[in-house]
Order: sequence, then C-alpha cells, then structure tokens
Amino acid sequence: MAVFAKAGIVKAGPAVCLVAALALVSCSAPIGKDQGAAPKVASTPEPANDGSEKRLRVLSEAQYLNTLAHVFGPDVKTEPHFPPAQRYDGLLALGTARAGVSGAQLELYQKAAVTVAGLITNRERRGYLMTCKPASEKAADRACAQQFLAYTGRLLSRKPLPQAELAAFVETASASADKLQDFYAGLAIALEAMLVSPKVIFVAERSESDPQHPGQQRLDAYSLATRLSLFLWNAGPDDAVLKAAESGEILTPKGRARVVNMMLASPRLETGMRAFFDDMFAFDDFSTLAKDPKIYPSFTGVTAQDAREETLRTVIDHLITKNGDYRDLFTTRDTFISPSLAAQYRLPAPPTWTPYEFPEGAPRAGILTQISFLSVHSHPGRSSPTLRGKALREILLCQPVPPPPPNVDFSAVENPNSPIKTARERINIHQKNPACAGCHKIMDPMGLALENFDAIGRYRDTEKGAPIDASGSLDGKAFKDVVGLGQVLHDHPALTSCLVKRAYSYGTGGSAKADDKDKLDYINARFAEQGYKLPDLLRTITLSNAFSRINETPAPAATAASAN
Amino acid sequence: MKHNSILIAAAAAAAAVLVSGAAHADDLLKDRTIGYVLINKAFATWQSADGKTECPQGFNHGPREQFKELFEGVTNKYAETQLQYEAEIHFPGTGPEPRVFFREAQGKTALGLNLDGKVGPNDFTGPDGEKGIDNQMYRVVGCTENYRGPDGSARHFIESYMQKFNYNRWLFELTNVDSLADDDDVTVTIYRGLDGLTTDAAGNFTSGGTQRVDLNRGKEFIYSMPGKIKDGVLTTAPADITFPESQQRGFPYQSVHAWQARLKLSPEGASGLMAGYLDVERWYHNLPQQWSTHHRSYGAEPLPSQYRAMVRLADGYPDASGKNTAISTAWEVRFAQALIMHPDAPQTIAGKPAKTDIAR
Repeated sequence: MAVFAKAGIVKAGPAVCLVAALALVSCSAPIGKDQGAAPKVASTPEPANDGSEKRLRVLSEAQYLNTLAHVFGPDVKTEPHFPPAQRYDGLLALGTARAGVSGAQLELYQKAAVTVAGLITNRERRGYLMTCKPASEKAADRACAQQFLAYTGRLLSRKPLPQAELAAFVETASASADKLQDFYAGLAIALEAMLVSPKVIFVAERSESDPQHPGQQRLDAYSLATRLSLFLWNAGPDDAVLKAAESGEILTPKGRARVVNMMLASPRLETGMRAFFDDMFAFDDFSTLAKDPKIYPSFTGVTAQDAREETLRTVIDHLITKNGDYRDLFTTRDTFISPSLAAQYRLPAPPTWTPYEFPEGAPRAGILTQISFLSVHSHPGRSSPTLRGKALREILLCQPVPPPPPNVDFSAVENPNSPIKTARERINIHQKNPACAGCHKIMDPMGLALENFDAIGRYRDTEKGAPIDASGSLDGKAFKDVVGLGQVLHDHPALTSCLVKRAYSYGTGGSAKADDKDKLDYINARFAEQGYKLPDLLRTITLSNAFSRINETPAPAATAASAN
Repeated sequence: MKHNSILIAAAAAAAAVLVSGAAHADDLLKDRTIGYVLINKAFATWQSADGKTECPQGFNHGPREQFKELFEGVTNKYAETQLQYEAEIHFPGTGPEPRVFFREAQGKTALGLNLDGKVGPNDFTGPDGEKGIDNQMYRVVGCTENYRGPDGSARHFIESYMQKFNYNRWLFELTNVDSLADDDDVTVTIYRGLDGLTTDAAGNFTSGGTQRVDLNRGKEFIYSMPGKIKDGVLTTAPADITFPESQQRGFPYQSVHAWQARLKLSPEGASGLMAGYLDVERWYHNLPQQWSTHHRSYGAEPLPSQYRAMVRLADGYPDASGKNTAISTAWEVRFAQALIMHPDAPQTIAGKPAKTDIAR
C-alpha cells in the first residue's frame, strides 16, 4: 500500500526552486538588508489574502503519542519508531505533507496499534479507561462497544465518526467478541483497526465556502480545530476544542479567539512549543550526535540528551513561563543545568535539573552559548566555525547557504598535524579561494565568534596554545566576542522574521512562498508591536485569515503521475 | 544568584573560572579551594614483574585448598572438618601455622609511607629508595591474589561498589590553597559525599562531577587536618580518622590510626598513597563478615592464616600488656577532581591528633 500526501508532492518543485534562488542570492549579496525585515508600519491590519493551501499530512510519531496520552493517559505508551519525516524549508513538520506510507511503515502503525489496544483493554486499565461495563465479559455487548468506540473514535479521528464507520467498528468488535468469547479481546481488535485507519493516521484538511466572504473558502470547523491543535499542542484536539467545532463556535471570530486563548493557557502549549522549537532548531540531529571519546571522553549520550533539554527548558521558561521577548533568548544568562551539563560548564549542580543564571561578565549568554548549539554544530573531534555559522544563518535567520562545490580540497583544513593553530587561520585558507570565499564570508565571521567553545561546548581561551580571537561581524555589525554576537543577533531583523516564517509554515503545514510576503509582513508587524512575545505571535497567526482561509489552487495534472 | 541557595557560593566561585576561561593549571581552584572524590583504592602491594621476588614460593592458597590440605583423606565427621574450619575462620588461633600453605610477602621493597618517622629493622624501602616504609600489612596480603593487581577480586569489587553505591563516597577538599604546586599551609577536610561518580563515554570515572557533602549521617566522617604541598605533592598531618569504605559490608567504614596521605595533585585528579594503622581485631572482625567463602575462594584468601600473620606482624598501638594491636597499612588511591557542594557552612571537626609515641 502506498498513500501519498498529494498537496506536498505538488509543491515540491517550486519549493526547491525557491530554496535554490534564495541560496544563490545569499552568497552573492549582503544578507539581512532585505530579507525578513520587519515592516515599518506597526499596526497594519491583516491585508486581504487568500490564506494557505489545504494539506494532507501524516501524523508524526510525537503527535500520535501525544494524542494517545491525552485520550488514554500518559502510561498508555508504545515505542512505535515511525520513520522520521524529511526536512523541508527548515522544518520536519513540512515533510509530513510530503510523506508516503509504505506497506512496511503500515506494519509499524499496526504494531503500535496492537500494543495500544492491548494496553487499553487489559485488566489493569479497563476499569477506568472504559466508558461502560459490558453485560458479560465473555460475549459481545453492542451498546457498550458502540459507546466506547464512538467516544474514542471522535477523539482519535479528530471529529465524530460517521454512523456507517462507527457501525463497522462496532460490528468488528462484536463479531470478534463472540468468536473469542471475550468482550475486551473483541473490542481490542476494533480499536486496533481504528488506530490504523487513515482518518487517524492522516490529517486530511477539508474546506468549505465562507458565508461571510462569498467566493472564498475556509477550513471547515474540524479541520480548523485540528490545525490549531497540531500547531499549538502537537496533538489532536481535546473534547473542549471539538465541542467548539461541533457547535460552529470555532468558525466565529469571537469563538475562535476563545478557543485559541484556552489552548494558549493550557499546559499542553508547552508540549506543542517544545515540539516546534525542537523542529525549528533541528534538534533531531541530537539523535545521531556523537563525539570522539578519545578527544572528548566526558561527552556522553546523557550529555547530548541533557544539552537538548537545557535549551528547550530555557526556551519554554523564557517564552512561555516568563512571557519574555524572543530576541532575549540570545542574550539571556538564565538557563537550566543538570549534573551532566554541570560537568561541562565546570559548575556544581544538585542531582536534578536546576535553574541557573550565568554571572554577569561570563562568556555564556544566550542559547548560542549553550552546549546544544555548540556541540551539535561541530565536528566529532573539533569545533567548526563554518558549521556553526551556517546553522546560525539557516536555522535562526532563515537564510539558506548552498553546499560547498564538489571539488573542494579539504586537506589543508583537516590535517591534524598542521602547523596552523587556530580555526581562524585554517578558515583563512577558504577565504583565499574564490570558489569558497563567497559562502564562507557569510558563515565564518559568526562562527568564529563561537571559537571560545570547543566541539562539546567547553570554554577555552586558546587553541593549541594560541590565543583565540572571537571578534567578527554579522551583516555589517561588528562585535568583539560571543556576547557581542548575541547582541547583534538580538537586534538583527531577520531573527524575528525567521521565527515568524517558521511558525507560520509550521502552523499551516506548508512552506512560506514569495506571495506570502504580505501575510508575513503583517504577522511580523504584530509581533513587533507586541514586544516579540511568543504567545502573542501564536495568537496572531492562529486568529489570522491567513491561517484559516483556504486557497483552492487546482492541482497540476502532473500530480497523479508523481504519486505513482 | 536567585534560584537556588545551594548553588550560590559554588556558582559565584565558578564565575571566576568561566570568566577567565579554560581549566588550566590552577584554574579549578575556586576561592582557593579544590575538591576531589575517591575513584580507586587498593592495598598497596608492590609487585615484581613475575611475582617471584616477593612470592618466591607462589601465591597463597584459599579456603578450598586449605580445607583440602587439612582434611583430605580424613573421614572424620562433619563437626571435625567443615565446622572446625568454619570455627577457625571466626575464632582463629594464634599459634604456628597448621599444615597449610601460607606465605608472607618477602623482601625489603614495599609501597607505603614512613608512619613513625623512623627507620626500623622491619621497615621496607620504597621502590624509589625511600627508607623506613611502614607497611606490615603488605607482608600479610602481598601474596594473596585477592589483593594483587591488576585484577584481584577485592580490587574489582571495590571499584564495582564505588560505581553501584553512594554510601562509600569519600571526598577530600583542600582549602586555603594558593597553588597546587607549592603551599606549605593548606587545610585538608574529608567528607562523605552523597552522589554517584561521574563517568565518561567509556564508563570510566572522570573529573568534573558534583558531590554534595553528607551532613546528615555523614557527619562522623568529617575531619580536617593541616597539609602541605610541595612540588605538586600533598602530604597531610597524621590524624585518627574513620572513612566510608567500599568493601566493608559488615561495617561500611574503616577506622585508621595516624592516617596520612601523600598525593600528587593536578587540576583533574590526585593519586598516590595513604597509610595508617589498622586495628587488627577490628579489621579481621569485618573481613569474615564481608567475604563469603566463594568470594574468598576467587581471591584465594586464607583468613585464619592472615589473622595469625597480622597478630605476628602488628607494629603499633600496644595494649597494656605491650602487645601491638594495630598493623601498619598502606593503600594506593586515585581521586578525580569534583565540585563539592556544601548545603550549609562546612561543619568540620578536627581530626583527633594521632599518637606520636607509636611503639614498635
């Protein structure tokens, strides 16, 4: 079986071209002058726009597990190992709209479904997870099966099950129960079927005519509820959100605002935003991060895991708990440390996660100086100003950098016995080669500012005995060290516009395109007006027409051929 | 610092390092203080390449071999064989060795410290030529595989228990330190810690971990004593102390008279020797409790013979009758640098000054 997310395939070609075009621009002209600059008008109303496209997405593993946890409780969990999505335009989330599901993948879904169905119906849990008790545990009970499957199916499918589908699941449960002489075994089979049904695994958005704006399309109530929920909670909608969809409240401006505010106030927002920033910061790279144990014996798997956690905790604490300015993430001295990280920071720490503030004047300020960014954007055996600079450009400023030409001679920079001592001297070799210099000029000056930190993020003054010069510049703004880089980054207009672009793309499930500029300008303006606060940004996006309105572009004829 | 009062002092101290940068030389000295945690300890057993210099007749037999030597061919009853041997373990005699194979370590070379400041006829010479080494325990255990390196069973279990359990965490903290290379007046304070040891990617104990001082049940392990650092080597003044001990399962601590240490210091760790006098009866009383027959068999450890040797070789702390009750002992030790957290002001107690008139 092969099912393809149609909308994603249609968009693949133009998206690639867009990336390539931006990349070429980025290496031939100064960056940051035009891209993503916040509009000067602060209180512009949302411009007329045609919204975004309908998506067909595959539920990610985290979304699947979060939904199960919300419906059945956190102890109903499995390790399904669904294949990861491919990253597009800086986000894995966009890959879920381009994914296919092969027969082998379907087996993974089925295995997970078997496990989950078994957990829900086993003796320990059935007493409190079931919404009814069968008349007999050894025979079918259609009424009880119907009640439970209707309740569960609504939450898992993110809308009430049509009567015919519900009847089919009830029939499966009843026939199996009679055959096995076990009500719960029969129910588990129906539940398993439900968990692998396309309505659970796929998110197929639907549109309808917008009565307030004749001629325009909007997401229908359930699709809007699901889009909101996947964006803000990284899970399916709960009962309250579905009720707002059922009543149509979610389609009214006032009703949508109430639902959005309720979702923003929920503890599930933390889960959702952890998922978003984990995706935006490309922290999936931590899954494969390894350092040479001969060179960095203290960097363990626990260190890597904790480094990722440190940054996510900092982000959530700063942006949600404290409702702080996004830009201050790059200058804040507040963080969290664990025993494993404390050993790298050379700090004492109690055995649990502890809030910590780096002292004033310390070279650690902002998430760029946390072990996560420093270690994940380094080589296994040495730091890399180029990788760090590239990551900073691409991840934080949304400025793609093209790959190196295929015939680069790396021998001079990779020679371990080289008389060259510092990274700055090594990188100068690239700067002298015109084929390399174009791109290195836009990556290295920022990366070199982080050279006071080795490949695992430990502080150092010198490299091979030579003092480290961490000065540099970012798009014309000079700084003398990494703290200065953080401040320049803080004030860089592309920093906030990149977050806006990523958040909008993540929320609507597709890449932002050139003709989305007006929408992004509007969101950028609101973001600036509101002091660069994440909850306000999320509110602006989710309440915008750009989020809920649907652009019904007919699919090109090539779609079917691509899918096949 | 606003979040955690426990972190306040240590974090403020750490700031100096963070600002100044790398962990070179004395950089880990924060507020003239550096901490270490024990990661390895073993009886100091000098070993020749093939073991034949100190054990020319081979290594000692364990309980199974001794039992065979004593009772092979004997058809006596259970009480006159097995029970007799078990009783011998718990209530060993002090007469001459029965017909079992047991040999003390031979020669005049041993690792250890000169505990009494004298050079006596029974003293050893260190491998570096230092005279007057007091380590009679070496004669007792030097030819017993349990204690010999690199893989004596006791050594394995000491390390294994350090990894598994925190009760044996032993810390020492140097304060008033001007330099890790030379300082003739530093204070050494020892504590029991509460936390697991930090390991690297290969599972080896490593530096940089945090250790919280145990001020609850660990108060009895807190001692302070003066020390000196010369050419990067710390020596401590003798003190009677009790420290948590990894393999003393009967009593998970060890009491030592006139304990002193000589440790080569670095920002990442400390290693060297510590030594003192172990009370013979007390130590032997622990030993049968902690090692079952199968453990003693792995390491071929003949307990009754060891007891007789300890009584014979005891060289300090005579009782009223003039009989020595303690035996000079030395351990090889390794410590890793650790960041020691004090939940409150350190509640140190002075180490009881060691007796200076140690009879020999």
